[in-house]
Amino acid sequence: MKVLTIAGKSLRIFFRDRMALFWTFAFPLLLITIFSLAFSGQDSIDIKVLAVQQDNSPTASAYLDALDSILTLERVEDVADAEAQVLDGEVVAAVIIPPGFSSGEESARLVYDESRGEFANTVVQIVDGVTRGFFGLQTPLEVESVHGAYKRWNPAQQYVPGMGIMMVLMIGGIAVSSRIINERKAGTFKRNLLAPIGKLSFSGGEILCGFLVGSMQVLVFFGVGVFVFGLEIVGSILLVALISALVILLGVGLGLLISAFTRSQEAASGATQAFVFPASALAGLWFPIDIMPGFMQSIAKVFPTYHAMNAYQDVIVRGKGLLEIAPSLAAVAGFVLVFFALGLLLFKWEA
Amino acid sequence: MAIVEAHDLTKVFNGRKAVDSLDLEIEEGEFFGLLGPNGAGKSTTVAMLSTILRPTRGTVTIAGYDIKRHAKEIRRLIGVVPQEFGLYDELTAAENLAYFGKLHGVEGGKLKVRIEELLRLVQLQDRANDLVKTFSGGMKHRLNLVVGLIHEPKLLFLDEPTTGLDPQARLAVWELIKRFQSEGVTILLTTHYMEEADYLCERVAIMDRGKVIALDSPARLKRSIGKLEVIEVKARKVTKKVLNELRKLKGVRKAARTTEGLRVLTPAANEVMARVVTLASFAGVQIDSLNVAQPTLEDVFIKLTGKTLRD
Repeated sequence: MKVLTIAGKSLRIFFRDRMALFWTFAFPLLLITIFSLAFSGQDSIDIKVLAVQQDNSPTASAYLDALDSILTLERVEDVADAEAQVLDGEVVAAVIIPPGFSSGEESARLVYDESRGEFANTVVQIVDGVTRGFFGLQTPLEVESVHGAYKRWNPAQQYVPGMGIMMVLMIGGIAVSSRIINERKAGTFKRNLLAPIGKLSFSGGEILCGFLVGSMQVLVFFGVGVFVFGLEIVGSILLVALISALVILLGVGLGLLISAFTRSQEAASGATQAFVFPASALAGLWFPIDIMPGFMQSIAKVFPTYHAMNAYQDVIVRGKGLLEIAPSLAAVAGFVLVFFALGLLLFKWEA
Repeated sequence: MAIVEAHDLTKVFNGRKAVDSLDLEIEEGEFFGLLGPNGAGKSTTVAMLSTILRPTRGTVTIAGYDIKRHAKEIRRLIGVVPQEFGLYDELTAAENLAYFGKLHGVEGGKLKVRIEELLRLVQLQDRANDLVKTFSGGMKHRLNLVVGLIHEPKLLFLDEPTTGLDPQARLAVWELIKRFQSEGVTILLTTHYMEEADYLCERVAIMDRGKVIALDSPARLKRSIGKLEVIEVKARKVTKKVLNELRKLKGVRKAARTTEGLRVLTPAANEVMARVVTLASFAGVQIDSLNVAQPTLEDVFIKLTGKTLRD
C-alpha cells in the first residue's frame, strides 16, 4: 500500500503545481489549436503569385480568375517589378499576360524562382494544369525560370538556418535558465552572491557561457551544412556570423528571462518550448512560410525567428548585403534588447 | 574592538517580523553564538549581516564598513558557510575551492597553497581531484566548511554547521571549527543545538521569534537560572495534556517536553519529583528515569519561553 500512498502524495503535489498543469494540458491544447487553425479550412492554396495583365480582354481576365481560384494572385502593373520580386525571393512566381495574348499572337509567361525547389515546381504544375484546363492541349504558356546565385534547390538552405535557429534558441533558453535554477537550488548562487563581485559579473558569466555554447552550435550546424550537405553561402560569411551572434544572444536572453519567473527545470524547459515551437513552426523554420494561409504569414512576422530566417536566407541564398538585411537584423536585435532588459530587470538577486 | 555592530536590525517578510530590533556587538577574535529554535530569525540575521539580504530597518557595520554602502568591501572580509552545501557537484573538490578562491581574488601560487592547506585540514587531500558528486555527506560537509575559508576571512559566519550530522561527526566538526578560531578568525555561529553553543561559544545570544531574549557567556546564562533546579525525566507518551497538568503542580516553575521526555524547573526538586511520579502514574506515562540535572542552555530557554529549542 506504500506505492499508493507515494503515488497519492505525488499526484497531490502535481495538481497543486499550476505551471505543471499548464505545460501538461493547456500548452499541448494550445499547440493543437494553433496548428489546426494554420492548416485547416483552405478552399484554395494560399500561395501568393504576382499577375501582370497587359491584355485587358475578357479571355485574359477569365484565365487569371481561374488561376486566382486556386492560387492567391496579387496584381502588379510593371513586368520588370514582378520579375525583380521573383528574383529577389519576395514571391515564388509571376504570371505575365502580354498584349496580344487573347488574339493568340503572344503566350502568357510564367516566371518562377527555380531555387525554391519543390515548392516552385508545385506552383509551375498548378499554373500549367489550370492553363490546360482553360485552353486545352494548345497551352499558350511559356515557363521561364529565374534564379539568384543558387541554381538548384538545396534543402540545406532551409534546414541548416531553420533548425539552427530553433536549436540555438531551445538550448540557449533551457540551458541558461536551468543553470541559474540549479545554482539557486544547490546554494552555489548564494555563495556567488557572497563573493566581492558585481551582480553583472554573475549574469555576465552566464551570458558569456551561453554565448560560447551557442557559437559552438552554430559552427557545428553550418560546418555540417557546408561540408556534408553542400550548402553554399553566396553572401558574406561575416554577415552569417553577425546574424548568428544575434540569434545566440536571443537564445541567451530567452534563458535569462525564463529563469526570472520559473523555479524548476521542468517549468523552464516547458516555458522555452512554449516560445520556441510556435516561433519555429509558424515563422518558416520547419517549412517554407509560403504554404501557410495569408493571415498566418502575417502572424509569423511577430516572431524574431521569422526575421532571423529571412536574414539568413537573404545572405545565404540571395547574396544580399548588410544594408539590405538591416531591417531584419534590427527586428532581431530589438527582441534581443527586450529579452535582456526584461530578464535582468525581473531577475531575483536575493538568494 | 567590535567587528560587528548592529543596531535596531529588523527584517519584515509579508508583514511578519523575522528579525525584530536586534542590537548586537561582536568583538574581534570572539566566538559568538546565535542560539534559538528553527524560525527564530538566526539565518535571516546572518543573511543581513553578510550583505545578501537588505534589512527593512536598522544599521550594521562590519569592521567599520556599512552593509548598505560597502557590501563589496565587507564581502572581502567575511566568509560564509551556508546551511545547505554550496558546492558544484560536477566540479572536483580542488576546482570548487579554486573557483570560489578566484571569485574572492585569490590567485596563482597563493591559491594553490591555500587549497592544499584547507584540503589537508579537512583530510580530503587524497580526494582533491574527485568530483564532489562522488563524496559522502560527511565529506561534502567538511568541504563546505573550508570553502568559506579559502580567502582567509577575518569574520566567519557558520550557519547551522552541524545540522543533520551524527554525534561523532558533529564532534569532529566542532574540533575543526575550534581550529578556525585559533587562527584568529572571529566566528559567528548559528545553531539550535544548545550543546554546540555551550561547547564552542564565548558569548551566546538566545533568539526567539526574531528577538534576542538573553545575551551572555554560556556559564553566566546557566547561572541566571538562579536557585532553580532541573529535573530531567526520561519518559514515553508525554502528551500535551500531561504537560499542562504537570505545569499546574505545586513547585513547578516551568516544564517543557524534550525528545527524551520532560525537563522541569523547580526550586524544590526533591518534593516535585514525587509529585511528577504520582502524576505520571495516573496519566499512564511510563517513566524510564528521573534525576536532578545540571542546568543547560536549554533550561535557560525553557525558563525564558516555556518551551524547548526543538519546539
